[in-house]
Amino acid sequence: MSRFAKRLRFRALALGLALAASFLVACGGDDAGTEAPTTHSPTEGAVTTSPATRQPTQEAATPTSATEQPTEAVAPTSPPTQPPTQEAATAAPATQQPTEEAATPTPATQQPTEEIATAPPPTQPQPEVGHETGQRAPNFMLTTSDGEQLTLDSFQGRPVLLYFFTTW
Amino acid sequence: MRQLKDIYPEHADQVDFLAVGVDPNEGAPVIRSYKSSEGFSWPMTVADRDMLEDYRVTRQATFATIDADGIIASSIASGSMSDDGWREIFESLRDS
Repeated sequence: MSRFAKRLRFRALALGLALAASFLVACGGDDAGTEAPTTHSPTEGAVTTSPATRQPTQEAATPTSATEQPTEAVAPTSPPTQPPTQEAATAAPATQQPTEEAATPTPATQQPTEEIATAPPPTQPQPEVGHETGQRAPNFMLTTSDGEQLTLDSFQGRPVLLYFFTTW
Repeated sequence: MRQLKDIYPEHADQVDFLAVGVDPNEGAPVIRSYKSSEGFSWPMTVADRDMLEDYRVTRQATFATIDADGIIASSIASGSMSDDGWREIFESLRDS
């Protein structure tokens, strides 16, 4: 073989070796530190994005807390509802006070009755004494033929007929 | 007055009857004798001047009625009436 052919064969072997070495490096080089970050970087990016996706969940959690706040805000509204009840409870005595005031006027209404009870009974106007019908009969004091004293009051409670006569 | 001897006993339990003499000259002895002779059951007396004036008595054989409350039921009137008239007088006086 010629000297030139030997050089070509050497160069071809060297190129083949170089390609084989590069192939080997490309296939079995997991332990290589330079290329590994390039291959893992997307996964790390995915990891970093996972917190980003979780942030919405956290944000969703915070909105839930925000939604809980309204519930807590509803809870504060319930206490204000209780004070009115307390106010109503305090107002209840106020409503009872009128009843007490209404109870106190009853003695005031009893007072007139006591006054009426103590006051003398209203006297009916007495008719005047006279001889006409409807007038009070004049009193008299007479002595009967039997010696008995008679007055108008002697017939009190019973009607009486006075008959005026002579023996002739 | 003799007319009332039979009528008054019908109402004697509800109405009183008093005969009052108007002649001042007829005192208690005359009246007592008259009552005894006539058989009157009611009390009889002689009026004084005040009573005759108070009841406006100017004539004999007249009458006036007084109810149970001492009110004049009928003022002085003539006593000349029928038996039924007297009965009505007693009944109305009883119901007064």
